[in-house]
Amino acid sequence: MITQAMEGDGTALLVSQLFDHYSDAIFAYLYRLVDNRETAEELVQETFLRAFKARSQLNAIENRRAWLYRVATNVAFDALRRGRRFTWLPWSQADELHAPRPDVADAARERDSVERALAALPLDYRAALLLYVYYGLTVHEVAGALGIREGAAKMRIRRAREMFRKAYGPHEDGVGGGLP
Amino acid sequence: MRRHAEYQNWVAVYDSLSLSQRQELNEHLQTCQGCASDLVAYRQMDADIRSLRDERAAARVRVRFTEMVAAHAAPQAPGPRGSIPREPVIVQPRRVRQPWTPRQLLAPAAALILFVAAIWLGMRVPDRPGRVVEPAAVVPPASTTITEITFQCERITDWGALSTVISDFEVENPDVKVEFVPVDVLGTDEASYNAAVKQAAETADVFCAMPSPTHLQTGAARDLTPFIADDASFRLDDFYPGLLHAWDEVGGAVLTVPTYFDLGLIAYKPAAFDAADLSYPQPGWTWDEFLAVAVQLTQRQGDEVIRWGYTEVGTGVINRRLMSAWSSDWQAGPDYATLAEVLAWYETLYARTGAAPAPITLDWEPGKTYSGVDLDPYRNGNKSAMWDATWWAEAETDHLTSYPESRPGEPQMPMRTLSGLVLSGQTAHPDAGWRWISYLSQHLPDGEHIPARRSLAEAASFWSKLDGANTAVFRYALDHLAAFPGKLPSDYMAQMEAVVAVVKGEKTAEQALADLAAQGHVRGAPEAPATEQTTIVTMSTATPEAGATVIAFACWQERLPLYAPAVEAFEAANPGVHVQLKALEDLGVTPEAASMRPGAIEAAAAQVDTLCGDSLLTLIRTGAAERVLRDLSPFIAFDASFDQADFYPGVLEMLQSDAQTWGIPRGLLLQLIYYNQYLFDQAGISYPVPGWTWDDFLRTAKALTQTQADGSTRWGFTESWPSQFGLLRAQDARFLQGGTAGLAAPETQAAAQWYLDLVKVHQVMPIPAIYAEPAQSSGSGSAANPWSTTAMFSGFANGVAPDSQVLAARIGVAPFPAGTNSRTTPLEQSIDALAMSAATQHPEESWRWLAVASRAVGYSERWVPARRSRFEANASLTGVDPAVHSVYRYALEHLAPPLDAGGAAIQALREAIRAAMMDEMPVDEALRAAAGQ
Repeated sequence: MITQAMEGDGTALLVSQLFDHYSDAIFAYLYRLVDNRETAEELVQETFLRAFKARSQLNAIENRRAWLYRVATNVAFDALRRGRRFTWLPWSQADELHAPRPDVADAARERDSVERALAALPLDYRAALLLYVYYGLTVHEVAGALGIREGAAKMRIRRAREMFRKAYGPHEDGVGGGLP
Repeated sequence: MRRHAEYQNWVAVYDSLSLSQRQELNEHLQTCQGCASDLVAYRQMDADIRSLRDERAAARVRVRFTEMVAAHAAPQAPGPRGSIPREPVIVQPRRVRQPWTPRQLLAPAAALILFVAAIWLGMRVPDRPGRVVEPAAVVPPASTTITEITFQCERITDWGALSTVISDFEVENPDVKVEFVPVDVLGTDEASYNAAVKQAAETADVFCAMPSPTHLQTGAARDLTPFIADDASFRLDDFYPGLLHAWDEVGGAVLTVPTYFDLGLIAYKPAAFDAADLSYPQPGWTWDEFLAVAVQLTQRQGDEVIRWGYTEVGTGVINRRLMSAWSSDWQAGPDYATLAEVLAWYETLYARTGAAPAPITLDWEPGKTYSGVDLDPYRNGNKSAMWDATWWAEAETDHLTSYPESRPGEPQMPMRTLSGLVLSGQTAHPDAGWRWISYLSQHLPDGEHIPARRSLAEAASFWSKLDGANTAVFRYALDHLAAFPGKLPSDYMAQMEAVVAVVKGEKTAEQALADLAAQGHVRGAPEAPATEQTTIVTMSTATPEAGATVIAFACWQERLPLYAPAVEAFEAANPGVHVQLKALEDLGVTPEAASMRPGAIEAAAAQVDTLCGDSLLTLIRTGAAERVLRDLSPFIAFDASFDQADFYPGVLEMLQSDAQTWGIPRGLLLQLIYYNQYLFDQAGISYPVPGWTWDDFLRTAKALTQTQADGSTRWGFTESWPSQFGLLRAQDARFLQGGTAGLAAPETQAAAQWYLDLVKVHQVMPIPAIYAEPAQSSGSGSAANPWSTTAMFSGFANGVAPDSQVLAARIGVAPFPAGTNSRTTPLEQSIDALAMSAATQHPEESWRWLAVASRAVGYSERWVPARRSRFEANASLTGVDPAVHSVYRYALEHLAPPLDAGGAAIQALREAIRAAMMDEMPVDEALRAAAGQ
């Protein structure tokens, strides 16, 4: 267990407890943000490593769950920002050429429609919706986790809902979706 | 009375409302059907989202975490003075502010707390003389009106230092308060990034982003040149050359004040150079020297590489070698001879000498996340003698040199700018916003990156982390920065694709150069020599070799069963010839790979005799067909049983180029117009029938467009993704003939104007999703339920079940209307076809099999048969309503000619339509601009 490495360090033990309580949930959250298992695994480690390094401040943190989600969100955004280095790669033209390919669309259609609709949301909004709906954070906690004001969090959740709703409609072939 | 928008926000967070708020909202819901239905929909949505199954992390996560903790578990000691922590300081976000309590009163205390916390954490506290704030100075005069501006940025990660800068600014500008929101503007592609910028512009006065002229034109960003001109404190010459970018496309507008940038450098292992008795690479070295060194430093044991000479962990060299062949201002690409040298250089490094492995990033695909590369095997192991060091922070530990050069002394050093400061085009406080931008750019916190201002960079702490040699490298690189163009020239992108093909071994340098020359992407190319005619194979001499002849046939796994009866019939009629069915997936081709990488389907084709698939058009357009496939024209000419008239008009031609035929069409994706019969009945309008006209269409769409009870619009017609060009093409199928140049043709302009008028003038169609909300329309290829918002929409044949219970409506189907041009049924740009591999040793048997296979299969999924005989065959029409069948028949007999345009022309057209649709410029101007690209 982690405790061996943390013997005699009360705050470190606290990190261990946080890991026990939240690592699965944080992993699931990160997985939904970055859509890649290996990356999510790396990021969950990075999240708790940051928590470990900041352990001396843990006692002063009022809502550790929201704080952990905030660290995880920052870690995910950092990773995606790094990923932007490669967006110039010359596949974009090929993308245009092949965008209408129906069998790719068919493959995507086979994915669960909820996952697909979530994946269609910009990251900021996906994070807000997941935290509020799936992980049950309050608006206040979502604001804390995303580092924004409560009013902005409300707005973001609302817009995320609207985007999700639009993306979650049935397809033209009537497959998928569950909303009227 | 609250505004309706506030109630809409409340609906979105219903469970978090207080009791009184909930009661108030409940009262509102009694009278607002829109909000009530939103609440119902949200609850359903929530239930669906909560039903998702959580993935669990693998056990190794815990193991790794334990190991990491063990490695870091030593007591926290103060870091060396002058070092900067890699982790951001964790500061609780500022919450709700009290608008009339000057926060400046708290600034000294906050600064003190941060100071103490920083000392306690062992951080370096930047020297900021003159930053002690006198409390008396922070109280604004009673008469001062406080302007509050919102600053959205996460690029400046040291929030503690930023907080100090904000406080200092507010002291100097007591009439302005800055509300900091640490959120980044992120997007995974251009469209989603544009949406994020738009969002930031709506919520913040100043934000961090990398804007382009599009953002100026859409009102998300403001031109900063007037502010710069009026601000004496804002010294332009303080920025490194090229960083403060003025966009020629929009009259020299400056859209952002740069913050930081990173240098691109090459890292190397001195021990490798020492062992090989080579001098360390010095700034100013050339690409040929780099190549020679990389080859010499590559170590092998037998066929196995023990250490690579160079490894591309980012996108450094694959980018820079080609970039350095372009002029510094990006106006002139390399001539033919220079490009030949460049491509040969890549071929030598990657394919001929094997001094470098294929770059890791070439496996990257759109939509996938790239999470970085573990550099430990390079730094501390022996994996490579050199690698590209993208992040300047590596300077602390690595031995660095600058990138090689093709014209020593010219500014060619790669750099990467980070998000800059943008003044929202929608801010109500432009002057206050600019004052904040100007102040912040001159007082940026010392951080992980190099400040864009020379004065800040010279005083930054990173110099203290560099040894003498790396300091000299940094000095050289900073003095030779290459300003990056706002937009890459199109020839560069085409040339980059050629480089990638060479690096991946898909083409030789010679082939890649020839292809670029043929496509007009290199200047000074010599006249192409006459190509050799394909050898004509005579059918009469077909004699199978002794023993069984096996014809390998590859197709998508799910479609193979469709061919099984044909195999049986073929083998019975052709004794001694066997057809072996193979799945493309087993040959390493996934649908995604086939779509994105023509090379994947090429590789598969080389392993079989025949194949079927829907990527043939791609191979033809990219010129790969000549290399990968066998021309079927001679076989068709000699096979009297092959009835060309059996194909619907124009279909066979889709697979022909320069009198060569690369495939036999099998299935087509047909577009039709679907309509809600219930709404037609209600409005007393006759159903559309084959032969209806465009006037009928417009009249119908107008009659069915209505404002609904909740204020939303039910449109007469909606053009769904991915058929965004269906209407446009149907208007006049001649448009786009001639490639990009055809965009300026009068027919194209007339068709485009008619199309735009549906939205702008007649208002019977919404802005197509691909233009309005591209982030959601791309990728999944899905469309939201169209029937809740439209009376008619375009879709695929077989794509909408006519008796759909889900839609709770009676759905009719009609062909596209006819006009002066009756061939109006749009075809998607895919065609399912059969082809013969250039690698086959059994061309005659392969042809016989293909001819049989092309007659064998009828309907499958959305694919409608390309042959009349198959379409009319009763066996293939199971489940298709006779009335629908007749519509299909009419549509097939009136297929629009195929697009004579490649991806560049389609992309240019799409951009032109988007610009006109979003009122950025008139359509004729947009098309002329697109034609000139």
